[in-house]
Amino acid sequence: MIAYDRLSQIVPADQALACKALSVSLQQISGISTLQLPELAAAVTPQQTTYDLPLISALTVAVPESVANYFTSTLAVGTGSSNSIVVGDLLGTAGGYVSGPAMINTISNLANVNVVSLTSTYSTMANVVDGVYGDPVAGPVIIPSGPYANTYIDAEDAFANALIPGAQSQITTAISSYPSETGNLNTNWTNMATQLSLEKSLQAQAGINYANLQPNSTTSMYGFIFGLPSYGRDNQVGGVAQLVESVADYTNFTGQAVIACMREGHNQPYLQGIGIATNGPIPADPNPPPPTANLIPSTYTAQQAANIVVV
Amino acid sequence: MTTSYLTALQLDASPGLLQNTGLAANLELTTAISAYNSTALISPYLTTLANAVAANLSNSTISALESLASNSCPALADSLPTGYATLSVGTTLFTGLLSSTAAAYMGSGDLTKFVQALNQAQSYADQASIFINTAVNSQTYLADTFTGMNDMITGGITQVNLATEALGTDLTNLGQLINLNALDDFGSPLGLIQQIYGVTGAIPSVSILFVAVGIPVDVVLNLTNPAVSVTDSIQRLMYTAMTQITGQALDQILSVMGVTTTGITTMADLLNPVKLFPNSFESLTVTTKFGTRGIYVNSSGSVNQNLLTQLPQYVVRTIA
Repeated sequence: MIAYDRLSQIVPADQALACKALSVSLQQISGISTLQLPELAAAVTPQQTTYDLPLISALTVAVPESVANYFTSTLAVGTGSSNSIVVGDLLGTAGGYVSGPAMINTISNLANVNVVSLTSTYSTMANVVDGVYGDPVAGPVIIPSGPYANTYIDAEDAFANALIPGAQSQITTAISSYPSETGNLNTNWTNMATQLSLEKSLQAQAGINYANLQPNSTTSMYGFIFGLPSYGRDNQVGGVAQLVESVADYTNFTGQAVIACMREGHNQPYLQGIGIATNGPIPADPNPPPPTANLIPSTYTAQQAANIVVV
Repeated sequence: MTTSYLTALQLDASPGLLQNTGLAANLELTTAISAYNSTALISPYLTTLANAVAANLSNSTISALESLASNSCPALADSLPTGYATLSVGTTLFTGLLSSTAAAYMGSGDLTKFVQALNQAQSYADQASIFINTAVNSQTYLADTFTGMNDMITGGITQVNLATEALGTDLTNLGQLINLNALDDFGSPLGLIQQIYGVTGAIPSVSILFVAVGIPVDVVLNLTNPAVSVTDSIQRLMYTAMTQITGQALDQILSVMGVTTTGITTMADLLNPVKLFPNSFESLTVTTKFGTRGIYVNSSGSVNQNLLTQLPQYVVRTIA
C-alpha cells in the first residue's frame, strides 16, 4: 500500500489526501475487492436510501432498546432460550411438561406432612354428604363423635359452621408445622397453575381453538406422520420431539413406532452428511405400474408431417 | 404423480394413529394424578365434592370447598392457587382441571385434533421465537459499529456517498478504470498504469512519453508486469508524463477503458477524484473514528485537511 506521505510526493498533496480517503471509504464496502468496477456501478446506481425518513435516518442503533423491549417484555414469556416460545409452552400439560414432575413431587411432599386430622375432617365431610350421619338434605345430621360431634340442621349447617372452619384451621396448623414441605407443595402447585395459564394465553395468541379444529381430519394425521422424522430433529427442551415423545404411548406398538420414527429422523442428517444410505424409505411407486390410459392420439406420423411441410 | 416416501417406521406408526391410538396424555402425569387422588387425604375430599350437589350444599359452600386452602396451601385441598383469573375449577378440583386439560389437548379421543393443534403451536413457537431471539440479539449485534441505517441497507455504499445515484453515474462512466482489488494503490500513477495495461496491454504512445520524461527503458518495458515495483521518483516522472498525455492518445485510453466521464483533459486527470467523480465528488465521505467526514469541503474541490488527523495513521504515514 502506498501511504499518503509517499503519494503526496508523487501527485499533488490535496489530490493524494482525497485519494487515500476515498480508498479507505470504498474499502469499507464488504467484498468490494472481488468486484469489477462495472459490477459495483450497477449495484450503486439503484440503491435507495432513508431519504425523507428522518426518524429512521436519525437512528444511532439499528434496533432501539424500546423496540427490543417490546418483544422481550410482551412476547418472551416462554421457557425456551431467552424466554422464547417452545411447543411445550402451548401444549405441555398433555405431555406432563411441568405438571408431571410437580405432581410426583406433590405426592412425596405430602407424605411428609402430618395430615391425620385434616384427613379425618375430609372423611367426615364425605360421610356427611353420603348420609352416614343422617339425611344431608332433610337433616338432622348427627355426628356422634370426634371434634365435630354435634347435631346439625342439615349438611349445609355442618359444613358452613363446623367442617369447613375446622379444615381451614387444620390447614393453617399444617402450614406452620411443616413450612418446608408446604412451601414445596405451593411451589409445585403454583408451577402447574402458571403452566396452565401460560398455555391458555399462548394458545389464544396462536389462534388455537379446539372447538374450531376439524374433527377426524385424516389429512392432518397424514401430515403428522410425514413430519415425524423432522420432529425428531427438534431436540430442545420443550420442543416438538420432547412433547410427542411424552404423549407417545410406550405400552403399545404405535406409540413405540412414533418414538422410533423420530429417532430415525434424528439420525438421518448425521448419516446423510457423510453419505451413508439407509433402507428406511419404502418405494411409493405403484407396483405393478398402473395401466396407461388410452388418450386421444397426440403425435404426427411421418406421413402426416410430410404432408404439412411446405415445399 | 408426485412421488413421496414413507419409511418403514412411519408406516408402522400409521394404522394406530389413524385409529386414534398410540398417543395419549402423559402416562406419568395421569398416574401421579391418580395416585394423588387416591390418597387418604384427597380421596374423601373428592367424594365430598362429587356428592355436594346431591347433599343440597349451597353454591357458596361448594365454592368454599372448591377454593379451600387456595391462598395458603392448595395442595392440601386440591384447589386452584389464587391469582389465576383465566383458570377455574369445578367439583373435580385442580387435578380434575389438569386431567381434563391434558385429555382435551389430546383431542378427547380424536387425535387429529391434537396434531392440528400441535401444528399450529409449532408454527407459532417458531415464528415468535424468531422475533424474540432477534430482538435479544439486536441489542448486541454490530456492537458499536453501527454507522447508520443508510449504511446498513446499502451495504456501506452510503458511507462513500449518500448521493447514490450520482455516485453510480460517475462509477458507471469510469468503465473499468479502477481496480477494486488494488484500492490501496488508488491514486498512484503505477496503480493506474497497471490497471490500464491489465486491460489493454502496453500503449506505445504512453511508453514513448514515459521514456521522454526520463523513465529508464527497462522500467517502462516492465510496466506490464503486475508485480513490478518502481520508486516514488519514477512514479513522479510517470505523473509528469501523464499530464502531457492528451488528445488522441488520451482518447484511445479512455475508449479502451470504457471511460465516458466528461472533463478529462489529460491522463493525469484520471488520478484526480474531482475529475473522476464530477457529479458526486462534493458529497464523497469517509468514515473515521470521529464519525463520517466529507472528503471535499466545497464545490471547487478543496480537500478536507482535517482528514490528515482523522484517517487511520497507517494510511497517512508509511509504516517502516
